Amino acid sequence: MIPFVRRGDGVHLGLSAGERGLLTSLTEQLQQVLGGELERDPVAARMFPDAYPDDLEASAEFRRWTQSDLLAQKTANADVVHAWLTGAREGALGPEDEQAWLRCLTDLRLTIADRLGIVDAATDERSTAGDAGVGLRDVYDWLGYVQEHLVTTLTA
Amino acid sequence: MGTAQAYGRAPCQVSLPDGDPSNASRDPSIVPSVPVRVTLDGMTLLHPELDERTSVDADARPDVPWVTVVWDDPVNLMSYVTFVFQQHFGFSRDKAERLMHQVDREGRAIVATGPREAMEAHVQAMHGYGLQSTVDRAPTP
Repeated sequence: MIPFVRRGDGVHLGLSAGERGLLTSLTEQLQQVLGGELERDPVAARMFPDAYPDDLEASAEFRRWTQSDLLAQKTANADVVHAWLTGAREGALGPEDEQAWLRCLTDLRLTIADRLGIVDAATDERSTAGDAGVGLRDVYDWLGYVQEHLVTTLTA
Repeated sequence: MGTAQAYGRAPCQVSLPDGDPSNASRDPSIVPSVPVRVTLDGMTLLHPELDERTSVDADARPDVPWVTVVWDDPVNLMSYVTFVFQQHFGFSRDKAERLMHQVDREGRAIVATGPREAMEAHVQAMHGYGLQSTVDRAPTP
């Protein structure tokens, strides 16, 4: 299905029930990741990158000042997306919902990229090879399609 | 930077190979099943008395500006990065696309210049969008 549909009053979800189900599961897993031992999870390095790559101390200082806010935002974004997926929210996305969707899809892709070991073009390419059947890489690509479609729909 | 290659072949829609992602043959789990051992430095604040912004700027010359750098990464899509540049910095689409291509081609681009605190606010915002972004001293002319 087309993931998003623009109507007179704004952008609506167009995902099929199966797609909603998968995305709901992924979003719930993201909520677990965000609420879990994030400091032990390598995806934290992608979600909260060093602000000063050559200065560990300044990076740590930056993290102290920003990480809890960023984490709260990411958690809120996942909660918003989950509410839309499960039907707790419906109708047209508001501006804050659009932001939550864009950012949550990014966090999902950052997390899956970490699980797939995608750190550069070569590992990106490698992760597409060899896995028979529909796996995490296909989900990653599909999420990219969903996000691309949302950006296109919002900017059209 | 992630490109639209995987989902860009068809003009408007791409499905997973079997047509429905809910039919994924194995559970697409992203929750770590085993404890991971990577630790980030300085993630915990154990000394509240240090929770003040001091001393970091001691050696900074106030007349030297700082920059916000956005780095290439394999995950974020070109369209999304362009969108973020337009939305956060208020750049025109042309300028946003030019910077996005610079990130893609050269691995990084300076997207803002100014006082350190303002650059840190931009970097925090970029991290909020999921982009890889850092603060740096402005290159000396």
